[in-house]
Amino acid sequence: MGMAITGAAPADGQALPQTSAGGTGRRWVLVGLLVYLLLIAVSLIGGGFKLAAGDQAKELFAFATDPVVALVVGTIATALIQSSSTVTSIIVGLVAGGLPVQIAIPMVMGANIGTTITNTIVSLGHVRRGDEFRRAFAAATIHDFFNLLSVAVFLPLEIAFGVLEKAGAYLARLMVGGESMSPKGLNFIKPLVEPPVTFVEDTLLAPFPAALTGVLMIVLGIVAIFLVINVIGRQLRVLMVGRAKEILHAAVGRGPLAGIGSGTLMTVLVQSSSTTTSLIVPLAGTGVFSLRQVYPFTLGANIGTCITALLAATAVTGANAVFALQIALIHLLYNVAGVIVIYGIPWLRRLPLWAAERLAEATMRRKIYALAYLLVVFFVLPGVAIGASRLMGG
Amino acid sequence: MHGKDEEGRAQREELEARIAELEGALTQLKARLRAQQEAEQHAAIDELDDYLAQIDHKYQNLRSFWTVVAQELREMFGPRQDDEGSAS
Repeated sequence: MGMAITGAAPADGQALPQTSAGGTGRRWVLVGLLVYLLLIAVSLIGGGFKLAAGDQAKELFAFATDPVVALVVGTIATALIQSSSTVTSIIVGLVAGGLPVQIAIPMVMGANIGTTITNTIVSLGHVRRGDEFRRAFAAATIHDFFNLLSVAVFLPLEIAFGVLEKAGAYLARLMVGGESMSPKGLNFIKPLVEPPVTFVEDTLLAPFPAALTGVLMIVLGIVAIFLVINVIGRQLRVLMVGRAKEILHAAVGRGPLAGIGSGTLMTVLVQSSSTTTSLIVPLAGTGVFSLRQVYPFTLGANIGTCITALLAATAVTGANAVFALQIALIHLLYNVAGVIVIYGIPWLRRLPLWAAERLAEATMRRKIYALAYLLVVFFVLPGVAIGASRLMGG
Repeated sequence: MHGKDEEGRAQREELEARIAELEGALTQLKARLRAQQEAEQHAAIDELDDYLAQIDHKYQNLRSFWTVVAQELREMFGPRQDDEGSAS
């Protein structure tokens, strides 16, 4: 990793920053500090939520007990923030503070949908380049259609049988130690995270009443997570560009499983599914990679992005640690199951491909379809879904 | 009768040999095509730095996309050229 990474100049003259050996070291130290800050931020949200809501956490989120509403909250929050890692980390923090896992599950599913807006926006940059735009747009929206299909398959199953909730609970109990509720082998996190959280709660926010302190801790935690994940993403992009190239080179000509594996690995390294899925947009746009070839890569991104929530869950201690770990594991299980079921069944696997190709062809005829698609999927449809759900719920 | 059999077998063998030759050539061509595609894919991956830099230009992308959409909307709903001509 000590090798210099040279950024080629892109078309607009801006390049990734160059890193010397010393610069690389400093960036890694910064990433380490940011991960520490992420853990503190998650604890702040958990502690703040507990302080603000007390035993009323469930009542506070009563509006989201309808799974469709919770799904929409996750979708819109992620589409606006443009980072599923941020939203899932916040959800982990809220679960740590008492948000019921049942409500958090559709939110996590919604985060999967919301995150797909980023690479779609990246694909719009190719709008003036004819066929390149068609290929880039299809490569971006295949992720959208896969994640929408995944929700269509798994949300009804979850509502009916609670499969993910049960599987996540089983795995979380396996991983959590008997005496303490911290995940096994990760008990060292508590002494590292607790002092700054206590400092914020008992010293920095001491003049405020408990409920306001709780709210301020949540706000502080959310802002910190947003900033930390943003900066970590930028740092890791510079640090990991060489490794990312190696991973992609190794996957060339090796079939879909290698594609899924490399997509997963790359997303773990850059800590952002949006980065991974956005990278394949120009790769597909050139026409050198076919839509079928980039498809597995986007699925790997879905799996790899779960690492952030798992990391966030390690920060949670106390009685709710097991639930924080449970929701992080559910996120992972959901994405792995999505790949196995949808990509594993040939006719289901073809649906996102077909939809992405048809939409891209329509968008070539009129660009307005792309705008309509973005507005409908990420904003209108969620609103209609909430309305319909409210009407049916009486 | 025997001569006809001999002739038939020879023709069959010749056809089989030609098919084997064509199949061999096809396999070779497919392998060359695949190698070329993979070489192009490796070359595209080497441009990754450029693509990474593009990720930060999401809002520029939206702006340029909106320009194209606005133009399209003007063409769809704005006054047509011949209407303008007749009006003037």
